[in-house]
Amino acid sequence: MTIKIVTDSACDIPDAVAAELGITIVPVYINIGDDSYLEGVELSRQTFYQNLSGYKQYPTTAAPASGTFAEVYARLAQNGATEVLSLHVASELSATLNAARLGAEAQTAVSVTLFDTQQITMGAGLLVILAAEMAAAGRSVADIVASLNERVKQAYVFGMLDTLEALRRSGRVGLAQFGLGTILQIKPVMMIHQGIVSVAAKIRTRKRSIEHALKLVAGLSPFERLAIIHVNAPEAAEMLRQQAAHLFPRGHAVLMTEITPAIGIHLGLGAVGFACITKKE
Amino acid sequence: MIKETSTTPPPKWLQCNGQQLRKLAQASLVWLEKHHRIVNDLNVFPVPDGDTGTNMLLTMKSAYKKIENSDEMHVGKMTGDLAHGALMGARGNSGVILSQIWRGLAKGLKDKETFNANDLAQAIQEASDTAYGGVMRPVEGTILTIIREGAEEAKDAAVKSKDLRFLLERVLERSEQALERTPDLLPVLKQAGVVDSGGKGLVYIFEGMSRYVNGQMVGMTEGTDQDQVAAYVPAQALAAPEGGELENPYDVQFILMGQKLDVVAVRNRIDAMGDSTVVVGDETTIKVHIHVKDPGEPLSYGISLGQITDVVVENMQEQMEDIINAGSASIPTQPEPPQVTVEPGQIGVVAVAAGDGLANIFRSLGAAFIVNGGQTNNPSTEEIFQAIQDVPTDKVIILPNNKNIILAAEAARDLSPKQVAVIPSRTTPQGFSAMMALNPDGDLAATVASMQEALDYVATGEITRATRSVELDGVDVQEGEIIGLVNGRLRASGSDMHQTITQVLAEMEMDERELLSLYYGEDVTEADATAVANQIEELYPDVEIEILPGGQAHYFYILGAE
Repeated sequence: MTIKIVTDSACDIPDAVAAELGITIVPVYINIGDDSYLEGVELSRQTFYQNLSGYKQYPTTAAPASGTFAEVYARLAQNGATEVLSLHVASELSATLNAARLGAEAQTAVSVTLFDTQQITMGAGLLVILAAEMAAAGRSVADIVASLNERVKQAYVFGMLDTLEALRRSGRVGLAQFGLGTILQIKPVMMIHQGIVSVAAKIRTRKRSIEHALKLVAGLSPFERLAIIHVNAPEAAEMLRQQAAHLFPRGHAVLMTEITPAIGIHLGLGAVGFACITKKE
Repeated sequence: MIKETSTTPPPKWLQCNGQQLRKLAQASLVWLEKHHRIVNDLNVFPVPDGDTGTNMLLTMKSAYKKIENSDEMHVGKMTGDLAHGALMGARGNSGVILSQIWRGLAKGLKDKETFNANDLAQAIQEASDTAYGGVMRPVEGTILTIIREGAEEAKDAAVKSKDLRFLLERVLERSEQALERTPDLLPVLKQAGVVDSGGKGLVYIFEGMSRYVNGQMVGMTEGTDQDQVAAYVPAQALAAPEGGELENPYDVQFILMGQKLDVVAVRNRIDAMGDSTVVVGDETTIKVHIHVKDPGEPLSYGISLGQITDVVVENMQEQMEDIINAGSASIPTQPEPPQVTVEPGQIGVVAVAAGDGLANIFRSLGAAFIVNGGQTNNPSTEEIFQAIQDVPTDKVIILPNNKNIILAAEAARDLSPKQVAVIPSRTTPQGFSAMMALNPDGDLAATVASMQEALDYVATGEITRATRSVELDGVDVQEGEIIGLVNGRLRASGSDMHQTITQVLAEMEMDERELLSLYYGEDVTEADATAVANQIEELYPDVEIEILPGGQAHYFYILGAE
């Protein structure tokens, strides 16, 4: 039995890790003006963020084509996969899982089990990594899914947003309900948990917002996995890594990634935070 | 205009009934009204909205309004009604304490049909205890000292004599002495060379009552059977045609006090100076109102006959132009804040805003109800209470955003059957900071704790014009200078706005801050504010600056540093 893991680029698995664990990543589209790019393939992350403020029209994202998924699943079957577990970014926030489902239905080469991580960026990525590790250890798809169903409840992403504009523009979160008015500057600490985006704290300054994110994360330790994520803010990310050094679980690499444009566009430049899977119930 | 009191108690006055008390209250109100501007001027703090006299007057007005047409004879009920009126109309710290004094008095006299000297002495003690009890940290050298000593004296007087007149005289005398001693108890008063304003207000209240019982004049005569009556016509009603030049542009008012004054002669003389003449009074007190070309003329005439007080001179031409221009003024456009809906069970916030722009910001942060502070920025207990009742939930948090409103907010909280908490925000930036910690679906106690904590995240600066000359906290202030306060304390004064702002920023430790919010007042244009922001940027290039229209009166700029 060979289980292959498939995910999308919005789950932010670093390339090296993907290669090591044999994870297939299907890229999401970034639309800039009239052009469409497959992120991570046709578009470099760094270049994109550096140029972001200069684009005439703010870029948008689009799910991969269902046909692409069908092709990917078929190819994996050709190369020996007996089952596929396809894990994707939260369906509340993205159409990707749906595209994957349609792709899975459009082919008969292999049995595809879909899983909604209910997370974004490394929050999803960490769950995907766990799934891949379990598959490599010989666990069945049913087993892995059962385990992941529990793990989903322990997965969190906390992010300090340097600007609310990107999130407002994304239209995916109703900000007025959180009292995130348009008049005063606010750098909120957002939380994503089980598919729901909420405001963990409304804070005015970057410094205190980062402090607050640290405090929140520390409150959830000890961790099974922990990663630092950022959007074009490597220094802030590095500072966070140093301050959170004591929270990282032993025996696992300290993961620090720049958030993929598919998600980064919606969080805005300067965002920085954590993705984690806590050991707590 | 207030009716003059024409009936006085009998020569030996042993029992006071409800109607006699009503007259006493009326007399104190009239006398306080006459002198409330003097009380305002005693405010040590040289800021434009320190209106102790106005606040106490409005509180007394509200008290009297409750019973002005009452024919209640039961003195306990009468006092209770007065106290209720005072409670609802109380505003400002002194106003609230005054209402507590009435409340204590009402408690002491509750079941009495009439009161005698002993009853009154006990009730005044009750009034003193209630007043002290209503303040978290009672300070001596204020209105509290006056009522406390008044109560002591009343007890002593009641032992010596059963005559209520005697008791009132003694209380008045003792209050005046206590007032003179307030600078010895409160160093800021000594520094400023004044007695305590709230205490002075209370003395006027006692004085009004004493004058009444001694048959002395307290106010203006009014009544259709008197030929000295004239209706007082407000200046706006006499405005010249739009855009026209006024022939007599200065509105002059004053009260002339003297001996054996001839009202008719005074009226004739004054009338010849201009138009819209109003002269009413008697041989010791005459109120004068006239529109003239030269304000000096009626004022000099007044001084030649006696003393003049409550002098007001206004330039109506300028006022008219302001009104005309106001229609064409551009109001900076702001995004319309979303309608804040509160569901039952959620926490609703009532915030006091000193300006329209500030109100917008509170709404944008989720405040369910705004109480407008108004020109004096001193809403009454009733206004705050009404706001609490109007929010469609039973869990309410109040943000007073001004140290002078905290007591009124607490009084409103105590009146309401809802679960109400007052976050003691002393400034608007503190209020905004607290709003950040609001979680409408959270637990009330936990939310109150986080909002309270958030108060300290921000430093507040305030820039305004000094209303008096004073030396306070090591700062020498000349009237009319631009003064700067940091977290409520006077820190800078000078003739140059930029200089004052620079000092204030240094005191707010701007070099350690990340964000400065500049809320500009109703007398400041966006261009002015932007110029100020640019200057600040030069001093502190790493700080992010927000410029926002606050619309507040009196304070050119309110600054929040985080």
